[in-house]
Amino acid sequence: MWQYIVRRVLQAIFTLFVLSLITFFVAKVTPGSPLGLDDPENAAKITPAMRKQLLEQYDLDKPVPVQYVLWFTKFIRGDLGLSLTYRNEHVQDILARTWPISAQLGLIAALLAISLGTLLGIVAAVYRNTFIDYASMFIAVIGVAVPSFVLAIGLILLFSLTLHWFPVTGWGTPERMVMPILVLMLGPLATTARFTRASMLEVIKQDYVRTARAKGLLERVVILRHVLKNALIPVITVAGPTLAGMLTGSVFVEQIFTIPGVANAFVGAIGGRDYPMIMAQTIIFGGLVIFMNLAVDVAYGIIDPRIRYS
Amino acid sequence: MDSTTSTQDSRAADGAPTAAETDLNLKLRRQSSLWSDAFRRLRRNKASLVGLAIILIFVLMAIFADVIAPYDPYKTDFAAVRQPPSVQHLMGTDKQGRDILSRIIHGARVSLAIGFASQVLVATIGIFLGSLAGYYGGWVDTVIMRVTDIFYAFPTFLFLIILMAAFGRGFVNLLFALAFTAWVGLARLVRGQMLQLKQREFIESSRSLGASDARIIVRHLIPNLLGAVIVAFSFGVPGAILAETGLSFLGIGLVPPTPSWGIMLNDGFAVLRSYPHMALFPGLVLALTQLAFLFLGDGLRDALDPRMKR
Repeated sequence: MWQYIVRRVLQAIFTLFVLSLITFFVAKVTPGSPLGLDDPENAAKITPAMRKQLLEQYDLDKPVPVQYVLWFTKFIRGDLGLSLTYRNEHVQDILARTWPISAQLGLIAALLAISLGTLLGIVAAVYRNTFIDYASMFIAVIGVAVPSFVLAIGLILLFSLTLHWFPVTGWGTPERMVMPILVLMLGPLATTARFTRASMLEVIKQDYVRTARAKGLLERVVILRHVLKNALIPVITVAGPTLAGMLTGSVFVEQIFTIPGVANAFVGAIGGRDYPMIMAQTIIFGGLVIFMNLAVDVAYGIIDPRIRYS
Repeated sequence: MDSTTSTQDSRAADGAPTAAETDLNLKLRRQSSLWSDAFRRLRRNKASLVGLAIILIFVLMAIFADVIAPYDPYKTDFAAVRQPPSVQHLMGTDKQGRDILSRIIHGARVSLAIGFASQVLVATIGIFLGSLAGYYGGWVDTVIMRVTDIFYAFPTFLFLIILMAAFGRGFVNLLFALAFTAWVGLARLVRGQMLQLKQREFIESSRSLGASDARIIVRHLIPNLLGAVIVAFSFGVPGAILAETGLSFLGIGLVPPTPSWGIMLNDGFAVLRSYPHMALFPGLVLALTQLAFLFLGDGLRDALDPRMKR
């Protein structure tokens, strides 16, 4: 298994390298100059000498491949460079400021989504074709189908502007956290619930479950001992993509609720053609996605002994 | 499924089928053709029929937008801006006095065009590369799969944001950005199906009769994996629509004054407190489309996925 993990990690490093290359060159074709140098408003104020000095300071005067090599050598030494939108601030400082907020939002939402989603799926499967099942699956279908930004707008209309329960923007106090977490978790929760239910129903059909029932075990014991253990294994496989999907969700949630997190900083960096920020963020997000996929694959193999690594 | 494919094989050998063969073909087909089977199963699924009906309404709305829409979606009326719903304007007017209902109807055209066109591109690229990789194996497979591995690790939506920022907003750019980021899933799916199918006996017999690679792929393999492709397509279209509206909502998708539901949501969100109708209607319509496609997609998957066959 270690051999397998090492190979996957090496592959991941190569993937991240290619990701950084592509992102760098795509960021560089973006028309317009960073630092607002081409802005006609600024053009009058910036003397040629200043312009030259600024370009040199940020390595923007060199050919693009050279810029990439410079960025890369700094990157492997842990220096992510100076941000172009937040002047004179290091990218690592901005990330250190924004990440804890996003991580808090993401982790709470992820934990709630997976635990409640699994629970909802189990309950729906156990009480299949009853009102409980239909109600759970109604929630799940809404959660899968309604886009996060539409849901956010709906919740703001209802809870903030009509009922005045929660404030619309910001982060930090519990009442400010309710709606962003709700919006971010509903999609993954619904996906998990649907998948868990399908997986449970698949297992309930199996012969060994019929055997367990036939030998007179209590329904509770059948479900807890025989069904649940086998049904939850495939649910792990959707956890990876589902959590990765929360990165997308956080872009909208942080924008709509003006949360000073990392996704907001990313969108700001795009607007400002802030390539050191874009690069750092893409690598981190990419690394996160790869890591989650790897973790899921490894966890799957540990839990299900039928899986062989190759 | 086997019966149809094997009869196709006997025909493939010498071209025109004999009368007896045609007779047999018809008999077999009437008994259990994949498509009529699938259609029967789909018809039994009420939710997916509702989904299909809603989608058909949207398609008709898109085709006959010019006839149905009560107003010109681009016609501004500064004497009647941000009016709440009324008899003249059933869904009210926006910040430039344009009729929201008319813009939603024309928006269906934009959304469906993006959804279907991007998925046609995705299907073309995905089937082509997936077939190559799956059928030939060896280094072709290795190269294509390494590329998909890299794409797979990309945080898709963030990469979409980067691409749109780099190449600029607009319909064509969005179409290619969507295809560029979404072909990977289908290529992997097609490759996986290919690997299974090419070891089946009817392919072997076809090859032993001297059929060329191209003929085997086009006549025998692709028709057999069409079911899986249709299911992927039915989930890809709403995905692309969601990406378009999401990017437009963030201001980097389509260019105003295009009647895009995402742009309308963005306009409405800015003045949510005072004019909730501006965001409410496009949001509801978007959620309804997503719901319809989810129902249809679920139904199609149950109807076409051979593993679920009862």
